[in-house]
Amino acid sequence: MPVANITELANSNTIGNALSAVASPAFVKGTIAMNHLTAEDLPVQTNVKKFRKNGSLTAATLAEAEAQAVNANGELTDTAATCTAAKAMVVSGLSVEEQKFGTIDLARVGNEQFSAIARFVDDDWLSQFSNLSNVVTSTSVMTIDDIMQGQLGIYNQKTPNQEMPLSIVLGPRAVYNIKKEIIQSGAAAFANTAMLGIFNGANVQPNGFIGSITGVGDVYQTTGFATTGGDDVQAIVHPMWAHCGIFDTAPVSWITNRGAEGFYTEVASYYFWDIAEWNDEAGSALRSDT
Amino acid sequence: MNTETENTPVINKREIARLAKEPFKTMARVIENETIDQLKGWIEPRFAYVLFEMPCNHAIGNGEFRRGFTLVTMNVEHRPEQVERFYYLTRKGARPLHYGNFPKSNDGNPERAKKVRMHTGPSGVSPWDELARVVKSQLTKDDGNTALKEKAVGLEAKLAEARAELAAMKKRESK
Repeated sequence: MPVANITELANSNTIGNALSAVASPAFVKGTIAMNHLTAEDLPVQTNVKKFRKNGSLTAATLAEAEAQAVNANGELTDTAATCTAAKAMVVSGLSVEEQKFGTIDLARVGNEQFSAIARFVDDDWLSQFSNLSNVVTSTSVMTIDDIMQGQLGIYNQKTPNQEMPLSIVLGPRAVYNIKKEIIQSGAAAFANTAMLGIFNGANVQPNGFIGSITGVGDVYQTTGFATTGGDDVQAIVHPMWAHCGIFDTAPVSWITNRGAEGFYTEVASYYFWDIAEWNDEAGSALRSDT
Repeated sequence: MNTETENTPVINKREIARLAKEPFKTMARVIENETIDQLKGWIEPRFAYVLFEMPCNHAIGNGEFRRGFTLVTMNVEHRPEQVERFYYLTRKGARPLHYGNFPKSNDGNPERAKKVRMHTGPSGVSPWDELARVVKSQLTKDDGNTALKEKAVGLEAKLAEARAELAAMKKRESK
């Protein structure tokens, strides 16, 4: 009985006819998460890591010769966000025929597995945008004002390190509407090329970066957002303080030859990670039509 | 989705059509009008999910925010071991309203049934069943709070009525 889901000779483009020099890549989303959160190594001998959140004290005035007992203003309490390592994995089987005569080899399978794991981890980050308590809901499509309100939500909460540009993570439709708004505004500010950062890096970079909105933040384009009620849940986040994560150094791959089960090589890759919301105040969800 | 039904006019045609629909029926009782509005025309996801009502700050333009409620959908299709995140959301004040599409070991879709077997460890308990147990227990716990909240709203209305009557009596007496 044949084993199901093995990558066989028929799965690849074989040389019955001449093959093109270039193969079209798979049409899958890119990965962007790692630049927009605080990443640390996996812990040792435990799968849980607490990301510390410092508390603060409150000062007050006191009249002359008055005594002041220890009170709540002087009680320092630290809290933490918790990351618990989860395992993402992909298992593939590559038939001996495919390895001998086909064009898909073990290295290719390994690379594709690593890309799949990266997308899975990336989506895990994107899915957390809907948990943010600051919510900007576009009347219909995304506008620059919506993004600026998101920025305001972050600054209102006294988020530290305001010298850093915020990360604005949007879907292609929102980016299109932002560009359209800039073009159609005709405002004097947008006649100045310095204000057109979002068009200067016109091509989308591999990390999703497409440019900056001066005074607001850097814009990144991706897909895979959570949706709710016909809206994509995108976000503007502080790249240091909104989310945190623990990440293994690299995915691990096991390669095992299987004879009795069907003459194929099993490639099993796994990766441990977790991402958590570190400071709710350091991000705003941006909801606009999907 | 435009949630500003009171403060700003809904100008999105899609929104007008959505608001004309019936609210999605959730397992938990919903008493917040804003949440009921958001549940109108809400489409159930195809993946395994837990739906929450979460307090939030809505930006309402001109740099102003108002406290309100938003719907949060937690996707648990590919990662069922999210009890930690579930509790994190409840600590933030989120209230589970509904859950659905959890895959089962006898799922009609063989891929999903296989997924359950893959995730069922030595304990023999599917992590989706475990999550469902946690959500159900929270739903029961919240139900009591909702009933109290509902009662409080009713009492507040009665109190306001009595106050208005008293004010009217005082006015009549002063004449």
